[in-house]
Amino acid sequence: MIKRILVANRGEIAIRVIRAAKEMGIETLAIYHEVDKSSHHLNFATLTKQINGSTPKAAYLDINQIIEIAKSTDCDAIHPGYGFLSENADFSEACEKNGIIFIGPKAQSIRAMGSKTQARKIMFEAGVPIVPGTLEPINDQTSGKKIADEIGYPVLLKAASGGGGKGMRIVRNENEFTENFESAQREALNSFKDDSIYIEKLIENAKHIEIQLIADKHNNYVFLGERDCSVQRRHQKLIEECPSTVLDEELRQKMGMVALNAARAVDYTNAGTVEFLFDNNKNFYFLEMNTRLQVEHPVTEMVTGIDLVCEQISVAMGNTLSFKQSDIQLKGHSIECRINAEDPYNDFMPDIGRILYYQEPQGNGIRLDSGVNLNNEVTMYFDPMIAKLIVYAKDRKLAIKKMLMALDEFKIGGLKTNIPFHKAIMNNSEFISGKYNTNFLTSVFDYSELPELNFEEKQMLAALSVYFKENYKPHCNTTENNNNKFGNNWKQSNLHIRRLI
Amino acid sequence: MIVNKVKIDNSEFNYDVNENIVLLDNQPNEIEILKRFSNDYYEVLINGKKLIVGIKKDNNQIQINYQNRTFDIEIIDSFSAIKKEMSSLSGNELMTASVKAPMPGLIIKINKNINDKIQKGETLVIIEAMKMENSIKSPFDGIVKSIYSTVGNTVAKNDILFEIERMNK
Repeated sequence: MIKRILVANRGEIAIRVIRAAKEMGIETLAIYHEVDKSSHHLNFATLTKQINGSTPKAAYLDINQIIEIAKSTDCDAIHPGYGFLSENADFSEACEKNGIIFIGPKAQSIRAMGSKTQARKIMFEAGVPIVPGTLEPINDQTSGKKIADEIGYPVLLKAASGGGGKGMRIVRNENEFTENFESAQREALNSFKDDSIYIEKLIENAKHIEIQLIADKHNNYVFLGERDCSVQRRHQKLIEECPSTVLDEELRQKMGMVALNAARAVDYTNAGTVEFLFDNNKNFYFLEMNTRLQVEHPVTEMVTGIDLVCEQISVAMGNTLSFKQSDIQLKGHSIECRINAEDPYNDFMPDIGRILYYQEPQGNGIRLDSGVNLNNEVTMYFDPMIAKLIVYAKDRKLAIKKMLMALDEFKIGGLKTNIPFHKAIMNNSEFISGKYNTNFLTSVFDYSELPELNFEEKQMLAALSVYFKENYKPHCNTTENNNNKFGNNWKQSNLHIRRLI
Repeated sequence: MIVNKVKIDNSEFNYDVNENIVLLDNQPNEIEILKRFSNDYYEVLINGKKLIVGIKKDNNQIQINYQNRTFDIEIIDSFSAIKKEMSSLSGNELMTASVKAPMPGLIIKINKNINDKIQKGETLVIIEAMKMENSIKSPFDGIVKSIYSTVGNTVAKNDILFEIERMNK
C-alpha cells in the first residue's frame, strides 16, 4: 500500500495527481522551487517542501535531491507527472534502488523507448511499421547531411532522446540542412542533455493519432482507444480529441493491437502512449512511445470513464488492472484545448506576468485542469501551458459547440493567452469537417480568421477609454474619501454607482 | 478647429463627454460602472451591454484588456493635439529604432553584426524562453547600428537588443 506520494512536478499536472491520490486516501507531498513558492499546486498537497537548484528547472530535475526528500519525509512513492523527470530512466532506477515506488514504467522500458533510434530498431524487429529513416543516432553534421540527401527531402530532424517536439526541425531542401541541424542539436542538448539527432522521411499530410494503453505487473495489457492530436504548432500539440474522425472500429482494434505489441516488446508496465503517423491511405507508422502520463490524457478519461491517474497508482502498488479489454468502450466525444500564455496575434510570443482577472468556465460536460488562479505569477522559467480545457458531449458537433461556449466563458486578464486562437479553430470548417491533419496550422488555417473587434466593440472600448480618462485621477491622496467604493483614485462627482460591491 | 479624438485599432472617433454620456461622432454612449474587481478590472455597462474589462491609464494612452486581448487606445484632446502638432512641425522624424526583447529569456544566437544590412522579417537574434527558441525579427529594412546583447546572457522584457537605422527608400 502507498501512504504518501511525492509529486515531482508543478502546475496543473501536480494538482491532477494530488486529486487522484486524495480520492484514494493517499497523502501527498508537493515540491517547489523558490520561484514557485506561491504557485497554485502547493495549496492542494498535504505537505510541501522547497527544493533548490542553479535554475528553477534544474531543481525539478535534481534526482538525488528529490529522492532524499522522499526518504526524509516518508514518501513511499513518487509520481513524476509529464515533462521534467517523467521519462528519465535513471530516476525510475533511483526510486527502485531506494525502495520507493516509481509510478511509471521500469527503467529498462524507459531506456528502450527513450532512445528514439533504439526504439525504432526494437519496433522494426517486433514487426511494428516504422517511418523510413535512420536506425542509428547521428552527432555530426556531415554524415547527417549525407543521410538526409539519401533519404530525399523533405526530412524531419528529431532529438534522439527527445519528445514533445523539442529539437525537432523540418528540412525542405539541402540548403536548409545546416541551420536546422545546428538549431535542433542546440535545443536537444538544452532539453535532454544529448545532442544526438535522427533523421526520418517527412510524411506529409498525415494525422497524428496515438493509442493510450496501460499495463499492470501481472502481464495484463489494455488499450483505451485513440487520441487525434493533429492540431500542432511547431510540433507542439494544441488540441486533442477522442475518438478520431478517421478510425473505424476495425482500424482502432488493429492499431490498438500494434500498440500493445510495441508495449510488450519493452516489457512495459503502467500508463503509456504509442504515437502513430496516419496517412491518407490509412497506413500508420510508429512514431514513438511516450513512457508516461500524457498532457492530453483527460480526453481518454472522459470517453472511457476511467481515471487514468488512479489506475496508474493502483497498478504501481501491484494491483491488477480494474478492467479488461472487453470493458473498454468509447462513449461520446471529448476535446481538449491547451491554454497557453502566448500571443496568437504576435507570432505566439510567450507572455509572462500576473493573472489580474480570472474566471473559469463551468457547466455540464466542462472540465478544467488548471495550474493557475487569480494573482498567480506566470514566469519565464517553465512551459507556457497554464491550463487544459476539456469538454465532453454526446457527439463531436456538440463537443465543438460546448468548447466554444467554454472558451467564451474563460476569462484570463493580465496575460495574453491563445484562447482567441482556439475559438478561431473551433469555427474553422476544416477542423469542423474532422479531415484536418498535422499541416492544418502551417498551410490550411488562415490566421486572419483570428477574432477581431467589430465596429460596435470598437465604439464601446473607445467610449469607455474616454470615460476613464475623464474620471480617473491617479493618487488624489485624500484620506477622507474612504467611503468612496472606487478607492481614492476617483473623482466622486462623475461616478455612477448602481450597485455596491 | 481642433477637436478631441480617440483612436482604437485603426478606427478614429471625435468625442465629447457629458457626465456619464460619451459622444462618439455625435452618437451617445451611456456608461455605468457596476463593479470594481481587484487589479483594475471592472464590470461596466455600456448602452445596456455588460462587459468585463481591465483598464490601465498612462497619460493619454489607455490600455484595455477585453476578451483575452489587450488594446492600446490613444486619446488626443484639444490641448495635447496642439502640442503634438507643434512637435511634428519641428520635423524630427525618427530614423533609428530599437528592437526590444518581447519577453525575458536567454540569448542563444545573434545573427547580425554591426553595420550589417538587414531586411524586414529577417531574424536578428534567437531568445530561449519557456523552453522554446523564439526568433526576434527586424521590423523594417535597415542597417544594424548597435548590438546590446551577448550570446549566453539573459535579458529582461523590453531590454533593448539592437538599434537599427531605417534604410532610405
